[in-house]
Amino acid sequence: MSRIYERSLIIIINKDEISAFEKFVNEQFEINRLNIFNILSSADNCLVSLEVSQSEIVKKYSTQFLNSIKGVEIKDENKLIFEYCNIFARDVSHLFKNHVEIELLLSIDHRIQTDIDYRIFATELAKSLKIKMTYMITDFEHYDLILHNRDELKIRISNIESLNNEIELIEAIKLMTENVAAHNKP
Amino acid sequence: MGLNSTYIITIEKHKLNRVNVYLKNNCRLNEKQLDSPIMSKDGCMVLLLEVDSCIKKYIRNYYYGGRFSGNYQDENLEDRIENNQTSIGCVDFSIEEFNNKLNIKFVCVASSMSHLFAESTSIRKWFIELCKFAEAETGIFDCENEYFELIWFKNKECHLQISPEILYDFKFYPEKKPSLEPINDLLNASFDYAYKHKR
Repeated sequence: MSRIYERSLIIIINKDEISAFEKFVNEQFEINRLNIFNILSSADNCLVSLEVSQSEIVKKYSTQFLNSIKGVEIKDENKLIFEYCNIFARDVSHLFKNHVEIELLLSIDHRIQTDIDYRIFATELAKSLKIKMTYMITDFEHYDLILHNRDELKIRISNIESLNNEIELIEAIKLMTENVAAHNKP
Repeated sequence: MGLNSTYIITIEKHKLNRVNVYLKNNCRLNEKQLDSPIMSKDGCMVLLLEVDSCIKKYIRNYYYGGRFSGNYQDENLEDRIENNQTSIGCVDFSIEEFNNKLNIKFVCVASSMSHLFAESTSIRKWFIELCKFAEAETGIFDCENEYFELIWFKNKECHLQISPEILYDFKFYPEKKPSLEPINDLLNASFDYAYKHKR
C-alpha cells in the first residue's frame, strides 16, 4: 500500500477575480463545472482533475511507473494529470477586504510527493489573473509563500503555533531580524 | 565548505554575569576559564550534556568511525559517558555588543557538529536552560543556509522557523528598506487558516 500525502496550495484573490479563476481552471482542466460562489455558499468542496506542467517528473520516471500510480495520468511529455484535487473556498474579507481564499488540496502518492513543483502551477495561474498571494501548506507545519502581489518569493515559516498570535509573530520576526543582523554584520 | 551552525543568545548587557554562572556550572572549563569563562577570552567552550541518541551516534561516528585515529580508538564509548553525561566541544564561543545588548554566540566547528546541534534535544535543552537562566531576550538557532529558528522569546520556549531570505533582505539590502508586508500577510493568512478555519 502506498501512502498518500495531502498538500494544499492556497490562493487568495479579490472576489472580482473569481470568474477569471474559474475560466482558468475550466480551460485547464477541460471541464465546465467549477463555481466558486457555489462552494462559498454551500461550504462544500469540488473534486476536479488538475493538469499541470511537470516535465521534470515525466523525464525522471518511466511511463510504466507513473501509470502504476493511482490518480496520476500522463497527458504528454510535459504534463501530468492529478485526478484527485479538491477545491475549497472561503471568504477571508476579515483579513483582506473583499477577498476569497481558494484551496487546492492534492492527494499525492508519497513516491512522487517531493518531486512536484507547485510553483509552476502558481506561476501559470498568476499570468492569467491578479493574485493577492499564493502559499503552500505542507504537513500542516510548513507555510511557503510563493507569490505576493506578483512578486515571486521564497519565504518559509514553520511551527507558527508555538507563538500566541499574529502580533506576537510579527514582533518575534522583527526582533530576530535585529539580533541576527547584528550577528551577521560584515 | 563545511556547515557552521550557530546558537545566538541575545541578552541585555547587564545580565552577562548570569551567563558566566551558567557556563561555570554547565561547561568543562580549562584552567584559564575557571575564574570567568567569559573574561578568559578563550574562544573554546566544552559543553556538559545529557546523552541522547543523537549525541551517542555522534560520539560513536566521530571517535570510532575513522575520522580520528590514535588515542580515541583505544577508548570505549562508555568511557566518554558518565552518569549519562558527556562533553561536546570545542564549540567556538564569542560575544558581540550592539545597542546595549550582547549576542552570545556558540558556533559549530564542523558539519557533523552542525548536524548534531540541529537534531539533539539534549543540546536544545542546554540552550533553552541558558536562555531561561540568563533571562535572554531571544534564543536563535542559525541552521546555516536552511533556516533560522527562534527557540526562546518572551520568557518561553518556542519553535518558530523562518527561511533565511526574510532576514537576508534586511541584512544585506537595508538600503532597499525591505517590506514586512509579504511576511505580515503570510502570517495573518496562515494563522487564520490554522486556527480559525473550520471545515
